[in-house]
Amino acid sequence: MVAGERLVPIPSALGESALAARRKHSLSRFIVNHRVLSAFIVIFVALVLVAVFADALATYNPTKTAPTIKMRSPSGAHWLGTDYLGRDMYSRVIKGAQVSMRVAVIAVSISLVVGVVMGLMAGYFGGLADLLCGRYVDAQLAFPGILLAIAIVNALGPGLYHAMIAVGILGVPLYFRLTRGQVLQAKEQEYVRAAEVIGASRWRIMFRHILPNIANPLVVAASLAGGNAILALAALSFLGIAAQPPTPDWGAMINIGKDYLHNNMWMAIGPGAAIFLTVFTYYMLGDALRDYLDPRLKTR
Amino acid sequence: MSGYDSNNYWQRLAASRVNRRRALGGGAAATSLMALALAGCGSSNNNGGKNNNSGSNPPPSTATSSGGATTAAGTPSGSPAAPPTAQSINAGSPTAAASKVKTGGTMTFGTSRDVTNLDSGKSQDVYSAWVQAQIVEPLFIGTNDFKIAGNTIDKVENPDNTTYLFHLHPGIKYQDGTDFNADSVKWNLQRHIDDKTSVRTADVKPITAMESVDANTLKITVSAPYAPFLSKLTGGAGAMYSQAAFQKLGANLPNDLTAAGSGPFKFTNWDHGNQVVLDKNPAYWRKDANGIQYPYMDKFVFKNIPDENTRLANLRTGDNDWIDTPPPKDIKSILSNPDLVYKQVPGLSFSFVMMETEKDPFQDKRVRQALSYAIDRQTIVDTVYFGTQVVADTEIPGSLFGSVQGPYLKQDIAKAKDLLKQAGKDTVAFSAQYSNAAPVIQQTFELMKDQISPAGFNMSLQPIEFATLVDNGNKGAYQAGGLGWSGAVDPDGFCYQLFHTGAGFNLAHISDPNLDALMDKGQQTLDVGARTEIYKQVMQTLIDLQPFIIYSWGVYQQTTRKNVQNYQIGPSIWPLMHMVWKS
Amino acid sequence: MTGYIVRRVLSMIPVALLVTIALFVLIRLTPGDPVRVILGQEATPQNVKALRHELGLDESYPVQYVKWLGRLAHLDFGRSLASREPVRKAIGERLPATLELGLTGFAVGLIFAIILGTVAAVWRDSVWSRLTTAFSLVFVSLPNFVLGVLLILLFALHWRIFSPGGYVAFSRAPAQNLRYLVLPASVGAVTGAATLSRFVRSSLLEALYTDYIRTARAKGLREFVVVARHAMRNALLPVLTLAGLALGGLWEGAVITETIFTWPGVGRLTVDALGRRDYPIVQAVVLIAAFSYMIANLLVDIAYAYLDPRISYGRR
Repeated sequence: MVAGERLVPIPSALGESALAARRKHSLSRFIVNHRVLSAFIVIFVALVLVAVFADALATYNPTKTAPTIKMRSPSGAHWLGTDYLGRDMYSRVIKGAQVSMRVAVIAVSISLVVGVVMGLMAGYFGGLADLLCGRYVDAQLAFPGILLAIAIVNALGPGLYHAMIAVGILGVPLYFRLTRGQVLQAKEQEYVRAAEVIGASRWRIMFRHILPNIANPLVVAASLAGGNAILALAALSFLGIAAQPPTPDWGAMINIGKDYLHNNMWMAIGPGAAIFLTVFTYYMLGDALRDYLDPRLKTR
Repeated sequence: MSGYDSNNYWQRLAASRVNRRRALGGGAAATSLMALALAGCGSSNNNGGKNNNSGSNPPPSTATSSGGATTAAGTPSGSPAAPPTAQSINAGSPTAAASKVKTGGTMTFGTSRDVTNLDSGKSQDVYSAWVQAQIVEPLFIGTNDFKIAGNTIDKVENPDNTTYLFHLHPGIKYQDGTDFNADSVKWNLQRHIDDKTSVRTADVKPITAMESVDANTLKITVSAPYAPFLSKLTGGAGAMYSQAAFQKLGANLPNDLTAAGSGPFKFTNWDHGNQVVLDKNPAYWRKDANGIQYPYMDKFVFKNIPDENTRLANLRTGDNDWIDTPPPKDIKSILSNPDLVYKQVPGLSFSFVMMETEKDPFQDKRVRQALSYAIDRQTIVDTVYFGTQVVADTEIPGSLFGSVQGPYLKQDIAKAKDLLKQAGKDTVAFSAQYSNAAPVIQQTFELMKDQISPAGFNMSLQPIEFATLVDNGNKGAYQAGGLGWSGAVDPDGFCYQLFHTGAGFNLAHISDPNLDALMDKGQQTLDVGARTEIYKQVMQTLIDLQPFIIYSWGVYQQTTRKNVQNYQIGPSIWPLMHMVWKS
Repeated sequence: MTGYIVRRVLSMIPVALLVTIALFVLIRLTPGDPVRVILGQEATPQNVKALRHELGLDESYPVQYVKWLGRLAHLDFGRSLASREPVRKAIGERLPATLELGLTGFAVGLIFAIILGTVAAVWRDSVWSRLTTAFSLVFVSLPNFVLGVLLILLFALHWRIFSPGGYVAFSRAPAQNLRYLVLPASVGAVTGAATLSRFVRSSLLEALYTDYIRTARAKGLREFVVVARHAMRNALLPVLTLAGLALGGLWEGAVITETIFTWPGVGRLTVDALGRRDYPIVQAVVLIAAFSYMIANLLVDIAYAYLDPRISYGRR
């Protein structure tokens, strides 16, 4: 995401410098030209803020049970009703944003770091590195993803962080293949040849020259992968092996809430809407970023 | 029903929040077991036929009507469940129900799990047992008032404490045409003795000799008096297979019971993961009072529907006639649905928190007692089970002899704190494991976490897979855990296997010489009065040791469409399925 | 070409071995004892020991692994630990159900994906494009179990058009079978259409900006011909790749759909078997899934080599 901040102007980061006027002008032009992208950047930032300030936004302790008021419909006191143990659904959903944001960041970081490093090495060094990494990724892809995740989580012991590791591992092939393909192209470019000629070390070329130049597709992939990670974790929660109760995890809340659809559908609707909105935002942001960053598609 | 306090149990059940009149209708069903069961045989003991509960309009019931009918049904008062002289259900009176019976049709029963293995020597799950009971009938059955009765056995005599004479019901044939006789029973029991991988070896372990006195009489000698013996033959080891069919099926036996037993239904096919289809056995040996051949239904389908909501939806739409355990949260809506019927009666199971007694922090029994005091059982039952379980704090359910009530029923934080202080602790942090496939247990623990924290307990929750949980339990790789237990129609089934030193399911790893001696004595004593006292002492010891914290007793629940008639609620439901019909 | 295929097939061998080792180790790393699960609550220590020996689980892992490989060489998957049923039979019984559900959902999804993706790419800035893009993003963002539950709630419980779940073999009762099929297949179709239509859109967009399309346009060909004859042919190649791979891993999505709709397929068999630690079944299913994925991959690569002469398969 570091690369993303460099490439995408985030409104709140702009401000009081001497160039403010010019920037403001370019900002409004940016917004007009890229309405969808701007809108989803704003929504995304809002989601991040909700996650960061979840404790302040929650109206009740999200894990405190109150059996006497279980399964209430939305009211002034409980905006999204209460769950099967009388916990405030609004507070749980808000607090769940924190969990899901952590999932996206940690899982995607794992996939990104492992996948990109493997991809760089395989693409740039070729030979044995390419063979080993390639075979590993082939083997992993051959495994049915959800079963691999279940097996990893069970082997490590169920829990949110182990589930994030499993989801992170699931995403490795995507980044590996993306990076490797990009590196193979970049290797033939003149700036790489030039760096080689002046005797830059191979690691330096990989990380200082090639990586920044292939960052765009990775940023797009990261945004899409954030959505994937949240969905994958929801599936693991659905199977009951991710978050430790009473942690307010959206997937786990939907998992239980789905059993109560006839009784109190709000128990599923709140977290369902939250997870949908979040994943939707990640995907839309990824899509819009791709359109923005890919000059070929921008023409016309 | 003498010798223990049944009133208290019934009051607690009655206090549950479910619509009492309908929910407890099954209480009356329990009373009528004898009357119903006897229908086929036409002998003339008229005591039993007090009422007939045909499912749709259960009469209101009370504790006394249940107890009273039990006595009336022919068991000598004062010796409930007297194993040495088990009465046969075949000696009884006809019932009036038969006159309006409608025969034929298909019964579809929605189950939450698939059958795992049809060989009763290789499976222990109830879903397999339900199907087995239809095909390979057991020798004995547990009655709805928690006693043992003969099924294909007419009478049991005990010339002395270690000898049993089984008088078999004459003329029964297996579905492959071979005879059900003393030699056959002997062969069946012997196979569990010989096969060390049979899960029933423990059930037949006391047998030292078997001898066919005549075609229909088998003499069994046991090494020492063993009171739970007949209760072990109500299923599993008591399921009788035709030797010829058994050998013909060979390696297919776990998946195929074609012509294997003498039961009311014949095995047709098992479509794994989907359904087991059974067809009527037209040559079944029982007829009802009006001479109509049992079973009434033509076809019996066990349909596997793992999701509880889908299962209930199938019942609502009429795709299923009958379903396994309903979701507790939906019982209210089931009761208000005119097409559906829900009944429950006290069961033979309990839910518990187990603690590893060999490891910190639960080495000290005062910490275990403190935890037990800190739990608010009533709130758990009301919130998680919607009142469909019975608040409890001891192992043996109130409907069995030997049951007592402990001091933990009401939450007592002050006492919990005090006990912790005595143990030299202010706060205790521990983790609790439970199966991630059991939402109600998860909810229980989430609630418990908040309940016990004022006493100084900080519990973290660890949902894991059931297989891992059992494994961790056996290895002692846990601090606390949540599971359920279902016992047999004998108090021994609620303690020996769980708390005897070295027993197979002693997950708490408790070892107490006094407790071991008591449970041994309970097995070797045949007099019910004496046994009642022994098991009360066992319970008192467990109340003190608290290796398990019991928080509720289970119930038998039946959820059917309105037209399902004449079924049992209680331990005898599965062996007596031949009397069920659809109007 | 033959040389390429031979090399390609040979390269699958180490991957296959890696898969078998990873699979074997991963399952055994998972805590839980199948013998305990089978024997249940009344088990005695002697029972446990006897059964463990009978099932061959008391041998060391390397020995078990080698024996397993040896049996695999004869295409023998062994017997289920729990039901003692031959694994091949257990899977064979469930496969038709999974294939029926998976293929129906997949085929319907693919057709819709091509239609929606084309609309979104060709009329790039129109309302239709926005709508189809929105459709795909909405349903990609919706977890499939939520979709399944919603469908049950609406179509089975509220309107009572379809059954909330169940199965009969097509051969036994075709009409009934189709009635059961509609809802779960819809979940697969909607999810598939949503996922694949995004790829149809992007690869068609890419194809529309290539030189030969510009040439075709410059020649004055009608836009329909340009899209249908020229762009589509090239755009569908990557889509078919993805579709082929999706087909290889078909049953994966079935795990959850089959559970919700009580569809007795391989996905549910696997989850049940995993829960019981029924090693032979889990190993067989994963292995079959892995191999079908690898074979789908191989076929896609070979198809590429035939279809796209620009791709060369000489030694790298």
